[in-house]
Amino acid sequence: MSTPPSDAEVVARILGGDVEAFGLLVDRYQSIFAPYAAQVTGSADDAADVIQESFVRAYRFLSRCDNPANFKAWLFRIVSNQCKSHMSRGWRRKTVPVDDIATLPAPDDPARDVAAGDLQDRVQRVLQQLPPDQREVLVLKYVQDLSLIEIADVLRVSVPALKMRLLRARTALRRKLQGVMV
Amino acid sequence: MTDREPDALSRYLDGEATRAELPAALREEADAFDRIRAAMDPGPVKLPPGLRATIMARVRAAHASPWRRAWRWVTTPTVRVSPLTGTLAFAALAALILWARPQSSRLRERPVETTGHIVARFVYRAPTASSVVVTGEFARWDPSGVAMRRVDGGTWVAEIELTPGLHHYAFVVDGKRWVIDPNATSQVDDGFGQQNSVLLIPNTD
Amino acid sequence: MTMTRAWTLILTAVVALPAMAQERGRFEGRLDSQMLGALRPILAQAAGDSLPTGALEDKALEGAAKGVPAARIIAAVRQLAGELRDARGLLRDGRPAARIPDAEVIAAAETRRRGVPAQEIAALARGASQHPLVVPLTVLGDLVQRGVPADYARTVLEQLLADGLPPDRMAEIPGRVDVALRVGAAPADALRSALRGGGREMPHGPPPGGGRGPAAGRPIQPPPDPPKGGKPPSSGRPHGNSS
Repeated sequence: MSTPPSDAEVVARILGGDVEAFGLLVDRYQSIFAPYAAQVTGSADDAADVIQESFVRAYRFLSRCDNPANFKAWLFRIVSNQCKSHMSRGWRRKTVPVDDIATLPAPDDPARDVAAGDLQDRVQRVLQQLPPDQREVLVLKYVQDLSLIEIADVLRVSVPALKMRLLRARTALRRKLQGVMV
Repeated sequence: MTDREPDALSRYLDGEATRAELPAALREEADAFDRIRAAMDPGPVKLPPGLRATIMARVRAAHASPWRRAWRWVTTPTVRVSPLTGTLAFAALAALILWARPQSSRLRERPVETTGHIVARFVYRAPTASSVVVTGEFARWDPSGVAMRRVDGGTWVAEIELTPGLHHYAFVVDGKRWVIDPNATSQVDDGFGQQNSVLLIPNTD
Repeated sequence: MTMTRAWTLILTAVVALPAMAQERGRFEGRLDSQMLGALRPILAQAAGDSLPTGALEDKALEGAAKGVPAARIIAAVRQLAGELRDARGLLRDGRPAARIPDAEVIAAAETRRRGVPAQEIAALARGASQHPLVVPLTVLGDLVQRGVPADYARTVLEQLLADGLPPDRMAEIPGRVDVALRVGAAPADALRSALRGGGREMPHGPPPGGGRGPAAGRPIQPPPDPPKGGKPPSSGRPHGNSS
């Protein structure tokens, strides 16, 4: 049984003119980045837009990937930047407004939160309330499960700076969740 | 109230220490955070099934674009050109390509089959629109669907790989106006007082 | 309050992690929890009835995308579930022992919605029991929407299937019918004309090299005169126009 080609091999084929080989990279990575993009942008719809734009950009600028063996980190960087651009354009889709059912309580209403009994629901909502750069490091570390070095590489920051950002993000997360409880 | 995170806990949460290295007093808190962490995972995020197809369609279009072909031709190693010569040659070629631009293709060409899917070509004429997307079940009715590209003064086009079968779709003009495809073989009531267009892609085997 | 208590307190608010997480992924955050609550029993019932729940989910997402009020979305999903249930029953009548693919249930429901009588769908399922039905069902709906009498259209399609007409050729029939309609043919005549067809001939017998059914060259016999007046195509007013 042959092993699948490495990212470096696939990139070389694409740069050699084999455009269909790009499909291998799409298959490998589109689902991997989907949770990250969905959480940073706030919706799976926006995630799909971001992923589409990221892959197309990756193709266009593939010759600029200086370390094809670490294509994933390079692509991740593109996705991260696309998330930022996407949000700075102010396109954040909201869930469907339910206009003919009684008004829902505001998200931070403790009565509703206790009644909801859904930790994931609360954590997801609180995540969306955090500043994007804090949300991003929490998702990269705790959902995507990247190492500190990998995250630092993606975000182009030093590891100490990253640790500081993570600490602030965890503190903010805890405070917001506490606010829900009080 | 103090909420300063103990250093030992920070090391664990940063992934720089193992759970075994945590003082016993902090383990409960570590457990609590691990549950929060699990709740951060949104679970599988389902991307629209047509996404891969859309990406590959755009990538193929970029690959085949006259500009890109010209640039590759001009800078191919066997044609030994310096960057300056390459740029000048490219500019000359670009001028030629612009002048000799082909007519936009006619509507409703026969679908082209690739890798078990069929590439369906959607065409909609809207000269005054600033954006048109096509959406349907293949895009889970994402209202921003698959962006169509403008190919001439007023015709919008998208190519999407679809599986054989029955597909429903509509165009969304300028992000808000839902319209059917006047070129579709048939339309069907959508159950909301509007209509969807129907595309039937037969198996060819 | 120490940090330990803070984290632990947060956690005591948790009773259980419901399967809503998975559901959320399916609906991609586009439907809020009230809507999901209303949909859940419909989907559960549909799943229990072996109906294609994906189609119901898609209908909900479609309504949400189109800005339809929630109550109407729920009603439409409920309605569609009923249609799928009925359609499955019709196909089951025609093919009691076969597995009914989801795609055929969906196509049959749609064909019903387009005005094809239930008995014609059941008859097609019986008469074409060895063939995949998505294309014939859809083409049947296309023809009936164009005013071709349902029983005639169904008979023709059964014959074409028996003669071995491939699905992609069958799918071309409505377009050919349109050509004839545009020059003023009555719907049933337009179908006859489409089968004789100009350009690429529609085969009346088995394809070259094989197929089953009648000998090559035998045309499909036109039926007796259809019921008075072919009714005009009921495709409805387009929602918008190209501008």
